[in-house]
Amino acid sequence: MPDDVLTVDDIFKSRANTDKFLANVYSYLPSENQERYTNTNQSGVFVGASDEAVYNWSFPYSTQLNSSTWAKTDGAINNWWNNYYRGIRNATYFMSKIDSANALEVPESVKISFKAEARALRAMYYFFLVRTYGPVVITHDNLIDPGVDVGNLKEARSPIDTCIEYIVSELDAASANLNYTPWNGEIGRITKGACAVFKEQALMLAASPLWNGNTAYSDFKNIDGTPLLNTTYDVAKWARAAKAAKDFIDEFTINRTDYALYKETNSDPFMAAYLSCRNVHTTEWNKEWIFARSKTGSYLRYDRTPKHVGLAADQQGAGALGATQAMVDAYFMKNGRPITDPLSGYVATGFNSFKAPYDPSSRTTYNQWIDREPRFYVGITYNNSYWLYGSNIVTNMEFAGNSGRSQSTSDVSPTGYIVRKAVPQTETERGSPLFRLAQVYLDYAEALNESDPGNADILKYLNEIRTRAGVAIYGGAGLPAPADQDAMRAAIRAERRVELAFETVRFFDTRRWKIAEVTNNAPIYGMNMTGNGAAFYTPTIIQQRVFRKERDYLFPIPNDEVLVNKNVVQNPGW
Amino acid sequence: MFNYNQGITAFTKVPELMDGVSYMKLRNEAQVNSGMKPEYSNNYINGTIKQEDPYLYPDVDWMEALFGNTAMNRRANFSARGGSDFANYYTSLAYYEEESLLNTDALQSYDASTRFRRYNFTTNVSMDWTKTTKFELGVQGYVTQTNLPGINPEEAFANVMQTNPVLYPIMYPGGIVPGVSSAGAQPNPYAQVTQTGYRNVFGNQIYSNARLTQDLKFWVPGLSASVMYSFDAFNSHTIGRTRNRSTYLLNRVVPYLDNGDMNLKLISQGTNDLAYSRENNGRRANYFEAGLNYTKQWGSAHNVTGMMLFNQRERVEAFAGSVTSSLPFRNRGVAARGTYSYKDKYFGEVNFGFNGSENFLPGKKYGFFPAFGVGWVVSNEDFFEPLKDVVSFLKVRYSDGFVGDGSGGNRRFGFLTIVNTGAGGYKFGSGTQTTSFGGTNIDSYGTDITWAKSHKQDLGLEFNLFRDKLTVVTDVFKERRSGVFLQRQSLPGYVGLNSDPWGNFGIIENKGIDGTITLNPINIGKDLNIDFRGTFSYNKDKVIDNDMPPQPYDYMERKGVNYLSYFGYVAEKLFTDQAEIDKSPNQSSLGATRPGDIKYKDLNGDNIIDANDITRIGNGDVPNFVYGFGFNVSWKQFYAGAFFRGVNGADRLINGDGVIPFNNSTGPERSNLFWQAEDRWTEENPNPHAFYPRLGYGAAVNKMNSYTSSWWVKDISFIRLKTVDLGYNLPKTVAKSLKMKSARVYFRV
Repeated sequence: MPDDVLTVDDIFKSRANTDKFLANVYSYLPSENQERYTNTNQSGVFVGASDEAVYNWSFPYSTQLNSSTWAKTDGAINNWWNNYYRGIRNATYFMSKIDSANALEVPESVKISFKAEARALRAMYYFFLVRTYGPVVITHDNLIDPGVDVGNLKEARSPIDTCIEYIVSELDAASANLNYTPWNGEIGRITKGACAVFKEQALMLAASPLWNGNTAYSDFKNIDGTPLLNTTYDVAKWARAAKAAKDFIDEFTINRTDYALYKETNSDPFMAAYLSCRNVHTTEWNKEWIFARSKTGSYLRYDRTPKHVGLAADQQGAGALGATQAMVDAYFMKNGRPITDPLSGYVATGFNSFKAPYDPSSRTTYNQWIDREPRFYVGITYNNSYWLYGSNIVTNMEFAGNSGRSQSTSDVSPTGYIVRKAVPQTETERGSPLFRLAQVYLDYAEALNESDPGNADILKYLNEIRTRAGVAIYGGAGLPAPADQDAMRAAIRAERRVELAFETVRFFDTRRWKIAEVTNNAPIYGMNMTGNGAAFYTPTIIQQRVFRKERDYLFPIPNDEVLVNKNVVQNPGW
Repeated sequence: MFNYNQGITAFTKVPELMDGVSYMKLRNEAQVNSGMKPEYSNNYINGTIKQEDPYLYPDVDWMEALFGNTAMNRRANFSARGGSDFANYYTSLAYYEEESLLNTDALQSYDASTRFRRYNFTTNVSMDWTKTTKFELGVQGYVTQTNLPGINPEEAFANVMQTNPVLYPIMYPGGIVPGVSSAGAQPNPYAQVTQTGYRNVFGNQIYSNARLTQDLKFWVPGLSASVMYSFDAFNSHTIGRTRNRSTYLLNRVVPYLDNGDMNLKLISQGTNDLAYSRENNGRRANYFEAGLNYTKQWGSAHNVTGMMLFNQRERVEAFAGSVTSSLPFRNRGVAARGTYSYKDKYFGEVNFGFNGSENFLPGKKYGFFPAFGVGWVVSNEDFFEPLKDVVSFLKVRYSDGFVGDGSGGNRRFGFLTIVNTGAGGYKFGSGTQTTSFGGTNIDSYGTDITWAKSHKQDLGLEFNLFRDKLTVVTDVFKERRSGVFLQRQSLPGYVGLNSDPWGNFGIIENKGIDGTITLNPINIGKDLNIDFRGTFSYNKDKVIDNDMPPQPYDYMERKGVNYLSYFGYVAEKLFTDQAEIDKSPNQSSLGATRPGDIKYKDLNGDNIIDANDITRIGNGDVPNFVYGFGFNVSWKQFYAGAFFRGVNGADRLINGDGVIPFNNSTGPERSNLFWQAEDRWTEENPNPHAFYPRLGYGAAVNKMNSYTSSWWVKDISFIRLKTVDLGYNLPKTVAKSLKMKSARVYFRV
């Protein structure tokens, strides 16, 4: 019989193990910078499975979503579900024990703070589950006995609104015992701001068309007949989401100055906007970051650095995360108009000399990529563009180019565009952002436009984003404000798509708005990767995407789960 | 006595890979089938066919590049025994050496050849200290030396299946290593074996035991006592001198520079220097036993024996990976046996074991396992006498009893809830301002676990016919194991356990029959002798309980079938065309369905193929019928013998990377193809029973065919000729003239 081995009863006798137990509870936060290997640190599929990007590799799980070949028996589906519930149980266990921790090592103030952190994390894990799987089983403070007779497990899924209420009330309760700044100055710990942003996100989800009056889910019920969502639209849900966003802005950016849009200064306003939008991602934990998984692994450098064959290893990457032509086209022109606007000045073919903001000199550039807005140059590596790091490196993705398909059929862009946003120069552990202030502004504008169309704050916060991005504001000189609620909705959505591109937001937006059946059910276009010279610049179908609207909006509940407990019903269409 | 053997080894069977040209055509086909552009132009394929430039148009058989055809092994033994009235000894020395089939690069200054050498030694001494006291001491052991390439050869072998024939040549001129990935993906298998340096593994094992036996006949006639102690130790250390060389790739568009040099581009930066590394391993074990033996005969009819034994075993892993595994592994037990026989006709035996295991709660640590056996030699009865010419021996026996298993499954101290201080941790901070915590969580949950019990019953029949020329032994057996250690499989994920707890959840039954038939050497004519031997064993096991919840359909139940059964979809054929897909049960919950995909069987008749159509599709890869037979014939000085061995009732689910073309988990371009890829469904030849479904490129298009299904279950029953002996015994006169007692020349496979 082993003695002097740490037992459950000993954990909370020491501060060191208390710290470590809580660290383990934290470890279930998703590290979205590791999407390449789906499930690594809970990473998801949310950039590669949205209409903004595509991996050249077929092993990321996003491949299966894009072709609608994912299945309820897939391991990835099990892993997210099981791991978030592990995080939840570990948090509950921590909360049940921390009060009785050894007071000599863990003082009361630490107990209160740590317990609130665990409570907030638990609510966040429920949020991550609800966002993907829909209504879930809530276990509250129960620690189900590992020896339980399976016949006694009768838990059922809680309706979506109950899940959201639970998340919100838990976050409120946690926030009451937390500070504005992280405990002990340790960046990455839960703060009041982190709780507030998750609350706001949860309310946005509940107010959105997918869950607010979605009649397509009228048969989505528990086995006892309890409907899992309300199929009657309720505008008050939007009002509540708008209030949560407004409360966040008031409390954290007006009454206090915890968060602010990140802005760099430069004599050239275009350059200033470019640097602001670029460095908000590369400067870790600047004032715009509200919450991130701190100091975690990242595959961004290799995913987003072009192949650059022949250069030193740290300047070589795979460039396998390609941006789609649709995303490229979504960026505004420098004058703030979309390329579809006849006044935008967009030219679809031909070449000209152009100097990009990061380029020391002008070079021949395809007209499509000339005079776009600063965020385009932050987000996209296009053919014959100057590389961000090193010196004198020009990326060529034509068949024979230094990053073309003749160099590798694996480590190559699928589309002739490579996602450039957030690419670091070296791969070090860094924060993997979850939410930043710009999203709260855009959420606020969106929720307000639904609940109180015409409210002046809508345009105000939308324009805050545009101002920082260096594009003309709506209602300013030469660019009229959107005319009505519908036009405003379209403008807000277009802005979100660009501002929050490649930040795992679009995946959920297209589902919240129920537009994925359109955006993800169409071919993905790119350049012609087997062409050289002019032949390269031919719009080419890269991938035929399939989205089955009757099932693909939600992740399936893992099949084993449904087999074990009949009360856990499967999601619609699965 | 001295003997020396020289042997040659070669692969019995090597996977046959597809050549470069066929590979490219198939890859193009797979890509076109998947709505993609074909990878290789006709020009490029033609260049490969013509083989104008093996560096620009590589076409490599990596199996051939890695492995030679044959390798040598040799073995030498020396042994001697001797002694006096009071002491005896036995000693032996042995040497064994084996080379591997891996190729080496003669240009390297170090020795990276793969080679194994072992020196065995044995000494046993027994001494009679007094007339009633005997002492025995044995020491055995070996020393091994293994030389290996810098990486594990298994890894290079696995990479062969990840490296297609046209990726790059074996090497570029001047010993330059080809590569494709700056991150080191798809490493060159040949370079892994020949360019990565070397490792030396030195291992030694010692087994020692000392036994003291005291005859106690002066006290109680027939009683003796013995104690035994043994100590075993194993140690090994590995010295590595390894490196990772730079890799280059020839630019395919501009392969040669104006001056004629190859236009090689640096792919990954490595080094030619050998780095040093070290690794240790070791374990030790102690065993102690003390026992009493009793034998007594009353008259000529009654025989009684008794035995009682105490034993204790301890094993320590010297380089354990965790606290739990570093603790000594311990078992302790008492066993006793009593036998009685009457006139060599009736036999009876009772025995029991009282065993302790570390894996259970105090109070549940010990288990009691009794057993009995009876036997009747019918042929020794008087009434049998008339039959003895035909049936020279007949015995019936039966045994019944319990055996315990205290291993606790794959988990030590199953009663304890174990805290893992090496769980996932977290780092707070930013940049260099970091606070880092390892993680602690509850790793495994303690349960009310105890001994697993096995109830064994065996009915045996032995008989000899024709004056013992033919002997037959058969056994019919039944075993019911209860409380088998299984991990809980029924707990839903939302319970949130970090691991599934172990418990005594399983009940498994096993029944079978086995037997041996021997035909002892018989003379046919003057110089011709022949003998024969056959064995067989058949068994069938059945899971009675396994902690799984009831399944929605009976055919999904994993109870009532053998433990190793495969479960999956039932494959019927390959879809011929879209019309057939349209009128068949809907498979879309599994993925997109295309002509040439596997058609699965709808078991519950709901016209939908989904997880409710999974059933038992195979027996598993442990055969349930094993047999063997052989004979020897000798004629004058010549002799010949052969032995066959066969298995039946085994099948293997082929899965994993490399099985389905262009479906590697690490990317379709990493797929190397077996020659079987020729036998596939195509639009031109829509064979519904081809080996492979229609080719597809990537994980999504191959999804429909990559589910576990009967399509991929292959029968692995076989019969093989295991050994053949041919030989010639030199006539005694010749041997004598060579100063030998006997000598022979032989050939053995």
